[in-house]
Amino acid sequence: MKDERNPVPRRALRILCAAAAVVTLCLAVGGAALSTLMWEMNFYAATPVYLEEQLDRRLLEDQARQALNVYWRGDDPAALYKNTNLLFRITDENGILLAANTDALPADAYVCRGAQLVYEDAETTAAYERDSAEPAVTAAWERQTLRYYTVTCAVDRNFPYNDRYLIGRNALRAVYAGRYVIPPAAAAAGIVFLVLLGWLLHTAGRRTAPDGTQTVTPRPLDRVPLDLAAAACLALAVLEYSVLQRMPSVLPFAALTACFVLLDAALLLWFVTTLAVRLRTHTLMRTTAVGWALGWLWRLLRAAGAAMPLIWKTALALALDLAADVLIFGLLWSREEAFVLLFLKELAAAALVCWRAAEIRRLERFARRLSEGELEEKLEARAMTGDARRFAACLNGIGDGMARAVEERTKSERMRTELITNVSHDIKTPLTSIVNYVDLMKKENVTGEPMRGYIAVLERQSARLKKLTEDLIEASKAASGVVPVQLETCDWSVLLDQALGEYDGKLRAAGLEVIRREPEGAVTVTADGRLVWRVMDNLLSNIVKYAMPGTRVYVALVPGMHEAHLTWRNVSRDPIDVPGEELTERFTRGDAARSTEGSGLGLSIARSLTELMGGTLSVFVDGDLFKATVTLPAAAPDADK
Amino acid sequence: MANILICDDERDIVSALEIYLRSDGHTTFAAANGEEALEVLAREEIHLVLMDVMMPRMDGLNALSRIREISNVPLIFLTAKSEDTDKILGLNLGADDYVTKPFNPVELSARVRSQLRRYTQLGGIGAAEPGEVRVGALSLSERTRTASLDGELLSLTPTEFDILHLLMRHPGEVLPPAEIYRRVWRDAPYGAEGTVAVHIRHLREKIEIDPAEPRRLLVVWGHGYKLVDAPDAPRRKGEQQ
Repeated sequence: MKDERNPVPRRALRILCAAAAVVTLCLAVGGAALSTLMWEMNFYAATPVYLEEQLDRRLLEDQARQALNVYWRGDDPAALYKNTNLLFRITDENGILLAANTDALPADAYVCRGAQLVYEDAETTAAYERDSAEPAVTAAWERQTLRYYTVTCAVDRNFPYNDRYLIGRNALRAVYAGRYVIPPAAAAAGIVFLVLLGWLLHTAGRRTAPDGTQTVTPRPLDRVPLDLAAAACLALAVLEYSVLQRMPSVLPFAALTACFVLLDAALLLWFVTTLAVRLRTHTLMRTTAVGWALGWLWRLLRAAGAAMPLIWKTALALALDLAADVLIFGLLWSREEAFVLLFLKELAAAALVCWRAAEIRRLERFARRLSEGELEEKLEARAMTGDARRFAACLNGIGDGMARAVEERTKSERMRTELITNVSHDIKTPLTSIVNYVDLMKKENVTGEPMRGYIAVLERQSARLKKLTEDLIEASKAASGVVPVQLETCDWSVLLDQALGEYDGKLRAAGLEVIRREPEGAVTVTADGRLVWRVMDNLLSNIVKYAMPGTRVYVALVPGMHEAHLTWRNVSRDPIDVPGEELTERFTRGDAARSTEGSGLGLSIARSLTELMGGTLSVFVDGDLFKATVTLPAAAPDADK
Repeated sequence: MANILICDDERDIVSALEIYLRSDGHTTFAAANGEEALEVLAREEIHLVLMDVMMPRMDGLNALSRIREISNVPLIFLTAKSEDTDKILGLNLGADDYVTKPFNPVELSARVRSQLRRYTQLGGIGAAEPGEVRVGALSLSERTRTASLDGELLSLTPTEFDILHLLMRHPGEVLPPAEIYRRVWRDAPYGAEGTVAVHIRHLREKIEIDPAEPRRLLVVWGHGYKLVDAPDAPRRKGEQQ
């Protein structure tokens, strides 16, 4: 239909269509009006001669009165009606000729009678006008006389002059000739107009972007205030009407009427299409002067509301309330309406206060959730009003900021874990060679005491390095929570049996005696058995490493309502220089000099793993007494197998 | 004894492994990456492959899937990665065993020996005799009250034998210590089930190559113990090393 890439032909096509629509609209309306007129004037039954007579009769009725009026005004109608096809004679009631522009009138001439009320006395008439006193009026009535006039007029059938009568007759003949063509032509024009209008409305404001997508974009003319434009159009119509009223002759009148009709039709078409564009882009309210004014007022009020502190607004509201009270009681004191009005006012005030209170409650609830760390939630700020809305937006901003900070911290923690893991893996490769070649050196039957001592040191230290890298990976993973945790119900006393079984040899070798205190039956906890074992492993390896040989180790398993506690107590071999809570920090060891083996990560790993399962690990030091308590959540009674 | 292909991009590790394996009487071939390993495999008759996971050009996992297309040769991964997921991935791809770096030379040669024995004796073991129980490489004769691993006789105490017997009759089943006590000692435990853990620990030292990382007799922490069929079966929920 049209070239999508090039808007110029499309634009031209639109203009062409618009012009065609204007013309067809005029034709359709004009044709319809003409058809109605023809129907009313009985065009389809009467003969042309009869119709011409009818037309003459209509014109002559007007002209006879006008001629009489000219005569009464004191002018000579014969001088005025000179070069015209109108023939007339004016006679008075006695048949005396008063004025005429012809001697001979046809027999079927139109006869019109007129009467004039004449006051005999000019002074009385004036008095009657000045003063409506009853006797004067009665006197005036008594002295009045009626004079009768007769106007006989006809149209000169020879039409010696080219004037409105000739034009009228010619027009009538033309219309009569086309009486069967005009109605269908008008209908056809109407259909064409409707089709064009439909297309124009459909394509109004549409633009095709270079990538082929269509958008509805208002043009500059679509931003003209519509109500002002409508007012201007109305003013234009009034102006046109008054101009047409003053047109002296038929031909300029007809020409001007046609121009005005075309102009009005074009304006109407523009009005309809721009309305369609505005409705489609939802800019109707914004492109009217009334809409602008209302929007400006609304923004002004909002800005004033936002700028005014709450305390002032409250004061203002109270002042208004007081003013309303004064008004009600002052005007309607002791009347029943006063109480009704007062009741309604209090009801409105109460509703407003409750509404604000509910908003404050919602804000408070949200702020509390925020403080508890629920950062995903958002407050629906649009549902609130005024100060509460601004407050809600601030709270949402705080939530966003906190969520971002948490996310960044989690990310950096994860990256650190990854770095530590990768570095540890890279260390493992050279460490493998060191371990292997130290082992090979040992097998080479080295003689000489110092050499064997050196090899022993190498062996011990490389083993320690290996343990250190492994602990480092585990500690960073446990601290950042990337360890998979599979919580299930397990029996802690069975686990204690198993752990002590694993350490049986080592405890024996360290000369430690374990004293167990536990209740009968199972102590079920919700935990990941593997992780609990790693916690126990770390604690037991600490005990084997640091406990005074030949002493007793006490382990007590105490079940509780919601959690179970396992406490280890042992006596340290060396004095502990560090407070208990610091021992669970990374790289902290009981001896500040770090003379013994161990990475200083064991208790830190144990604590992180316990916390991953929702438990706690607390360490307590009292002189040489070392006490570690692991607390884990107890299994729900029904979850027990 | 056997032709072993060692594949690692660390020249020093390859040399050390060559020394160990030659001292055990094996013939060794070296490759620096997966592509070279495939070339050697095509050229020589190889009985076992030791392969690093992270290598340039072609890594171990890639090379393994290529090898498995053509050959069934036993393959042990040498890996610096000790995460469970990496182990499971390797075993699922068709590796027979894995050793984490830095490894103990004794453990490595034990695993090599075990794999070679399984490979060469595959199908050589006849049907189970009456009164004989088998789980993976473990077999146990009720008649003679002896147990053997890969055909090698184990020296077990009577209690250890009874525990192993009980576990082998219930492979893959988690047995709580109290239950083991009741069925082995034929007595109510009364808090004495702690001794079961000690016996299990000793038993594990005899049937596992690395007792600290068991692959046959697994501890299910907080529940009990179980014996599994294949040492290289991917580990499931709740089981421990």
